Amino acid sequence: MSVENAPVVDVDEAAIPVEKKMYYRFESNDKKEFRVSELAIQQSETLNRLVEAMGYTSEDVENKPAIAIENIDGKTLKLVFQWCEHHKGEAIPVDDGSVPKIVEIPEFDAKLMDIDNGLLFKLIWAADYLNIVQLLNVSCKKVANMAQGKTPAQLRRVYLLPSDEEDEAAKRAAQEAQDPRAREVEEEFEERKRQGGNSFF
Amino acid sequence: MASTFPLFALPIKAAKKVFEHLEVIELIILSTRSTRTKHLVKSVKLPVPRIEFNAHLGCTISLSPRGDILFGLSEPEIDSIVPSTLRIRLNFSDAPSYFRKPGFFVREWLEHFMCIFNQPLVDARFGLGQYSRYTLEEACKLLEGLTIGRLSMYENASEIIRQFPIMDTLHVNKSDLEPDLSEDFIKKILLGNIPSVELIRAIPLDLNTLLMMNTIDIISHQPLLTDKELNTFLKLWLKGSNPNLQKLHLRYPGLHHRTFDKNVILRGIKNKEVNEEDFVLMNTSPIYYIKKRDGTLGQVYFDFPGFYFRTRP
Repeated sequence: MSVENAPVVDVDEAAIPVEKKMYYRFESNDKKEFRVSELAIQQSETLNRLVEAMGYTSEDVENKPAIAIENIDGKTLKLVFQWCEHHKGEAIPVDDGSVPKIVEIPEFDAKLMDIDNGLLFKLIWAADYLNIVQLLNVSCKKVANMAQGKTPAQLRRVYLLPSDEEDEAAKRAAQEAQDPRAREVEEEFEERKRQGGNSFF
Repeated sequence: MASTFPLFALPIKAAKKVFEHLEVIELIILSTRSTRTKHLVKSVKLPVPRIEFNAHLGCTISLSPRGDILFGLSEPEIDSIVPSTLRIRLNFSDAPSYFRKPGFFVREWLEHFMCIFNQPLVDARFGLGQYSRYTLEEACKLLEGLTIGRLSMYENASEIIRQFPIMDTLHVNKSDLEPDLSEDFIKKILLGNIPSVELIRAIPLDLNTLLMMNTIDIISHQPLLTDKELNTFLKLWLKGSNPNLQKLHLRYPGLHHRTFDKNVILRGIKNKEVNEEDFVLMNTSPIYYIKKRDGTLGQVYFDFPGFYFRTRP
């Protein structure tokens, strides 16, 4: 029988058993809720492990409160889940150890990351926290691209790189904030060393 | 859109990831900005290049696949008060980039690159003295305290080896007009634990010296060993001599008539002849396998004008 002569059969789509898609509900730290597919969740190692450990059924998802993600706001989480949904089912890249990394930013990702640097910072922070390997790759690539063609002075400005002195001052301030007594002891130790003492104790 | 990005406010893993996406030239620039950026660049683990001081050219670092970094090119940088200029090319077809950092002279750049590229060794190459930019004294001052990888020279070998007695690979040559090195001196050197030795024209290699060497990889372009002595060497190797040797290449370039009589070289040694396809293509003899009691295999083969011996565990 030729293809042209084959009988046309209407297919009742409702009769075909369709595997029910599983969704999870997440809540940002500013109480915005998101429904994310199970396949999209797999892009995040952290969330994937979390939902596996919780062992939620479809009913649990509806009846129990949304899973709270305490340290990410709604605006950032929206971008994260948009990215995960777009890339769901894709293989998670394995780091081959090569440097510099060769990463192309796909068009969708480029549009998604057409945001101010403050939000980009939060997106990278979230990708790192949620362990979304490829999102971390492309977002870091975007930050790396900011260095192209820059002079040493421009690089310092673009990345707000602290000098050694600024790093040292920040370290001292952090130590003092943590334990003022420790700083006093350190100063006393330095003073004794200057005076030629062999031992502090 | 804000034009700045607070890189170091990111978690360290993410900041490192940004560094992994930067080009080598950007990493080098960043590595000079602060101790923190330097350590971060070091942690990225860039491919480890060879870092070479060349008394003729200055310092060179070959970047994979087709770039290089050069510094210390203009004389007399060694005592200069002007910081050394760095020239970086990522592609040989591209125009190079130049920059300086206050307080960074040739030695500072050397140490800096050894650090960020995780390369503990610096190679040192000395050519013909009359064309050198650096005197031996200047080179000693520049390389003082650094660990030498490959040390190669084309004249004045004894003086150079005296100044740099420890190295990973020793490549000794000499000009036509120079006499051979003092046998006692070079033998003392060769009996040290140098992993790799390439003797081009500095001294002939005899059987006794070869048997006393504790070297892994030996190349000699002036060997004195006859076929009978090669036979003695192989028999002694089978009995445990030169236990660390992995590769021996004896080239007889001046002896156009030199042929190898395998019947003499392998006399009294149990061996297996194998015609391996790769070796047929290279136009060498078959490979003769010999075996130590501990199971270590030795491969012997010849091609005009060389004798090759390699070991396989």
